Amino acid sequence: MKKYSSLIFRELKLGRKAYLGSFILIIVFALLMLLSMFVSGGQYVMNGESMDVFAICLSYMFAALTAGCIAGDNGVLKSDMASGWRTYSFALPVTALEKTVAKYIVKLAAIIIGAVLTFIGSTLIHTVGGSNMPSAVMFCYFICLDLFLIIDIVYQAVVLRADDMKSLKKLGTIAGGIGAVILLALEFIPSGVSDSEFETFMTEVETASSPVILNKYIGFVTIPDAAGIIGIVLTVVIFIAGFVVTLKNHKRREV
Amino acid sequence: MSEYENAIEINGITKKYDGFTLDNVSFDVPKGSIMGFIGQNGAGKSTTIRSLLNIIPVDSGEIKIFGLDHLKNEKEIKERIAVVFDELPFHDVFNAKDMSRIFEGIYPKWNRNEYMRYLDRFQLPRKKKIGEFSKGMKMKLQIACALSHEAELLVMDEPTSGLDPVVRDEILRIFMEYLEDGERSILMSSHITSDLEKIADSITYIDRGKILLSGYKDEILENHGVIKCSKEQLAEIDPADIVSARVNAFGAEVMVSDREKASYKYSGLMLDPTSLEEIMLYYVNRDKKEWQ
Repeated sequence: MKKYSSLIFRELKLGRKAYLGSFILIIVFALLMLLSMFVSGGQYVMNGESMDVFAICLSYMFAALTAGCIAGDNGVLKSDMASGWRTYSFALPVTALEKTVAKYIVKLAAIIIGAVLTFIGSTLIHTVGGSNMPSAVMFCYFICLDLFLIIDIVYQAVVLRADDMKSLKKLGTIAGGIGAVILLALEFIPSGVSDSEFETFMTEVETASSPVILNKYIGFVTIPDAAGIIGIVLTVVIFIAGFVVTLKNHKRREV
Repeated sequence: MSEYENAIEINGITKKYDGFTLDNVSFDVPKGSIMGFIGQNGAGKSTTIRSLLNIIPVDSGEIKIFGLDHLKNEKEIKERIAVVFDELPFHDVFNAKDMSRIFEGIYPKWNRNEYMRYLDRFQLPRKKKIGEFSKGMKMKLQIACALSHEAELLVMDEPTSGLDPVVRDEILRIFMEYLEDGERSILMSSHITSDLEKIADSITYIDRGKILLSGYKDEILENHGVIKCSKEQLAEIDPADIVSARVNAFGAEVMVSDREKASYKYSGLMLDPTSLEEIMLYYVNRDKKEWQ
């Protein structure tokens, strides 16, 4: 346990700049979204009055982005290679499994904290409306999170192949490019909804009452009642895949 | 302490790269001694050390540390060894206190009080970021970490390179103190041969991936000598006795590998003792036989 405590301390201390930077960016993002909502005249109320969709998004996006930034790449991997710690760590009595477990304890903690915050937030706000919103919100939280985890897996799989600073820079650029491609590719995944259908829906959402909006929103994105559980299962699968990739890479010796 | 004769046994290790091969490298580091591992840049010192630490896998050969197989007993071995590299591998954002926090979980025998004593002795600040340390301070910090968990073997790859003579001397004295109990050993690679002449018990010389010499330092120095002669006299020296000869306009300086024999055979010629640095220089040019 003492060993994990030391490894986790190292992971958190090294990643804290990245966490703080991400947190600040997300706060700014959230404030800008709220600002746009107020400027556009949107309202956030409950019990029969209209509800702005952006406010719903904020409740899970905020936690998802924060958790994702911590659970995703926190810069430790690259700085380990750049400082020489990765090479040095092979001379330490720490196994690849121990390194990976420590790293993933931090990721898991971030995911769980984000999930709990999201669930509490969505339950408080939306249960009053009698909807299954928390389940849909949890699904969206995990999907957003999964994006970060997938990009992190790709990044690790690419960057950990570097043997020196020169190849690290090259592979880091490639990994960044692949991450950008993944994000762009997701943009083009067909939603099964035409532009006019989406426009009609948004008009209804902006004018209809609270329970109607929420159920219609959920119906529109065709998320089933067990959405939250599906999201959890998907995240667990991606999490395990990431663990395996990280473990494999930690075991890999230099050439 | 466990029973073993040699802290390190390297037997026939081979590692191939494009353009370079570590070729059948073998040597032992006796328990309680300091082995100086010398060679010019690119000779294979770091590759050998990395193989020893299983940072890179070898193509063939056997490595034992404390009499244990370096792969099968890797974790146990690494709890008992300490490593010092030429560049500090700790992140700049940490301070000396953070490193204690990290290592106390990694090494079962981490001694925080001992570490703090070394920090005081080296006059290293505890809360200043490592990124703000000078090169000498960084090396001292690395050494403080290495000496603070009762390691039986210290493996060091160019630990004094880039340091000024005062700091180097201080560090070398600490290594001598480290070995006082006779149970600890040091493998230290360096191309600063004067440091090794001060403290090493034995020397292994590697060049272009091959071991050229390995043995007790005093014996190696005793066995080698430099004959100073004219070019005409050079022609009379048996080529089999010559490692290589440095020739200039005024004469020649010839390194021999059997000084005692040479003192009888070439009694009319001036035969001087030599240094590790000269031995390195002459052996590097052994293929040329005569060089300038």
